[in-house]
Amino acid sequence: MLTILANLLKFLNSNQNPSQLALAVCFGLAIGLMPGFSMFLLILLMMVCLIKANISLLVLIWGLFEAIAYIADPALHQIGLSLLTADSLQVIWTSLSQSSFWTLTAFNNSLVMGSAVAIIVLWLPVYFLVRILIIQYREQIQDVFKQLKVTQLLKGSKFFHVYQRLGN
Amino acid sequence: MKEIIRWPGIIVALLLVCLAYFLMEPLLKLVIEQTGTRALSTKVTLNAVEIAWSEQSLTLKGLEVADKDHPMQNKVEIDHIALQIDALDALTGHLLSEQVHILGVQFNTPRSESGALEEADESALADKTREKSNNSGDNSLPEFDLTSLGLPDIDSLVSKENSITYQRYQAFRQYLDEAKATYKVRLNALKDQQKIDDYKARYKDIKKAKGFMAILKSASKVNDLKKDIDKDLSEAKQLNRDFKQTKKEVERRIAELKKSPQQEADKLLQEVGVENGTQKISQYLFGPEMKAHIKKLKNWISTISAPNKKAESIHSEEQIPERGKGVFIQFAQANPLPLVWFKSTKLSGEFTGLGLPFTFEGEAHHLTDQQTLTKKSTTLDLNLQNDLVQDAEVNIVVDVRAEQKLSLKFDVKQYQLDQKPLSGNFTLDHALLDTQGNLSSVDDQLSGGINIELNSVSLKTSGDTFKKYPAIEKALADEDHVTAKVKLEGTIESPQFDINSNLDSIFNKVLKKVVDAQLAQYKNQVTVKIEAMLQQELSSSETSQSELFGMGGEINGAKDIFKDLIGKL
Repeated sequence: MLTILANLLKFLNSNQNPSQLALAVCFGLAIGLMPGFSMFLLILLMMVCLIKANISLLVLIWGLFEAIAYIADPALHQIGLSLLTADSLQVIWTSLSQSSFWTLTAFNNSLVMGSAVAIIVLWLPVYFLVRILIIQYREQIQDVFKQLKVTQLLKGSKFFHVYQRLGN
Repeated sequence: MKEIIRWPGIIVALLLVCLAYFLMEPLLKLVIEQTGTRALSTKVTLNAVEIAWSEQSLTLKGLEVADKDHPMQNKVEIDHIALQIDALDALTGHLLSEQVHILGVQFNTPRSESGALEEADESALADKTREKSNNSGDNSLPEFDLTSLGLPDIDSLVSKENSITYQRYQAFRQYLDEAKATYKVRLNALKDQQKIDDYKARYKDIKKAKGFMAILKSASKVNDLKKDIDKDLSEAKQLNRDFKQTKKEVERRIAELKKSPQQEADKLLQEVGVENGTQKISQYLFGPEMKAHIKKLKNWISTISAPNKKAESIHSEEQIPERGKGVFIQFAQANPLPLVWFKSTKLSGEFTGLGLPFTFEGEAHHLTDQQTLTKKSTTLDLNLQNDLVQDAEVNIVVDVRAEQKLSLKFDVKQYQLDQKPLSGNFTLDHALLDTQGNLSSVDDQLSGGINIELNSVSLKTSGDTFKKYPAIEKALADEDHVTAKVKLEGTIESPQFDINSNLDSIFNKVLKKVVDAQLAQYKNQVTVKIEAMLQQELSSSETSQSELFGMGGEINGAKDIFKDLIGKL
């Protein structure tokens, strides 16, 4: 747990581009929410390889959203089911189902559809929010943190040693 | 762009693609084995999978499908399956191919390791027990025998209690005794000494009469005496006539009794009811063989249809939403595809595992799991080969779109049969078979016909049945040309055969001859037995008869007594 927290702080305090970190969070969210049997997951993993996103942070967030996905499963299923069974969208789904590629994505699965919708809806807000938060943290909070007495105390603690070790 | 793209990531992605390329084959092998095992409810194993990406072709080597009832045996083993596939269709789970080669198909081959599935063990055991109990009744074929031709023991057939001849004799004996008694009474009454003495006394008295009045009076006495004597005389004459009649009747009855054993023997044989012209030997010879083949076909049909039921249950289970799985919504497709569709398939293999000593080559068209989607029936044209057959062709059409239709046509020419055990006591030592058949089954309802022609036939019989009838055995052994027309109807569960063969008429002709000879001998024995019984009884009644006939002289003499008396008067 300490390692995870230390990892998080390390990313925040590093010189890495906030966009890369925000992308890592977004990809972690997407991979965590997307069920394993969809080809969307494979596409996301390939994109992670090609796009500069912090892999360590991604894995951390992935794990977090796996747990969230498990809790949100009924809600995601309901969202997907209502979209897939909506009369007005039947023409789109039927035309997509004629294609082998779309069939491979398992878009007609209620959970895949619900997750995809959640990812699309959350992606941009999360990206910008995380990016802003990181920038704000680095500009305003990082220095204040360093001067706090609590931080000084922590520097002598086991947690700091873990943090230091990660830095090395 | 430089900030967003991770250039080393491309290498990683390429590495992943390479890894996928190399792992695809073992992965596909695993998927096929697991999917096959789940779909067929029995262990499916593969030796190797080869993918030719440039040709979009897939080769499966050493496919083994275990027999769930016999885990150390494969239901089917296929050496080589090569097919061209559409990769995208294959990835969506649709195995579609224009041209497929399925080579080295074998049935019921031994396995090196058990093919038992842990979860299936219990149900398989139950199925096995059920099958065993079903089989136990069917396997017990009746031995061929000619007990219907057996004749009852003569002693039990001919007894005094049931014999018509004896009853006739009893009636005769009663008639004889009654006649004897009646004539004795009538003769005694006629020859009553007191009465005769009285007549004599009355005669003496008349003779003594002297004087006119006494003579006149005695004339009336003479008249009375004459009347009485005349009465007795006519009674004596009547007695004589009756006796002659009785004598005739006795003689007639004796003559009738002498004919009676013959008549009784005829009647008894009629009652025994020996049928000597309706034995359906061909039904017995070929019927069980055919039933066994139909049963084999039925077992295979049920084996094929069982996994579908399982697949249906899996499909319905998928509709229940589970955490992390969701629900798949099916949308109407313009051209829905079946899971498997091999449009043209070259086949080769052998049927030895099914008890048919043939290898085969041929073609199948539209092999699929869902004919409703392909909208075509599945056809199978096979050429069966072995050293003993000149030509054998089989054509199978399966159409399950509207109803379960199966049609089977075969044409076998010059098939050499040696030491082929037939039912019960028969062995086809040697024959050259030509046969054509056209069978069809619609929803388990069977119909069709088979023509069989056997040349250079050598049919052998064994067991005690024919030892009693060597002529039949010889006739069957001498026949070298057998034809049979089989009409098939009923259901797959209980097929009905109507077999008409020249063997039946040959058999029945000889059988009739044998039975007729046997019957003549038997009839003679029955007649002799009745005659002996009658002779014994008649000898015992001979005294009585001669006593009766002996009364003839007395009866005749009685008339003379009265004639003398009349003469004196």
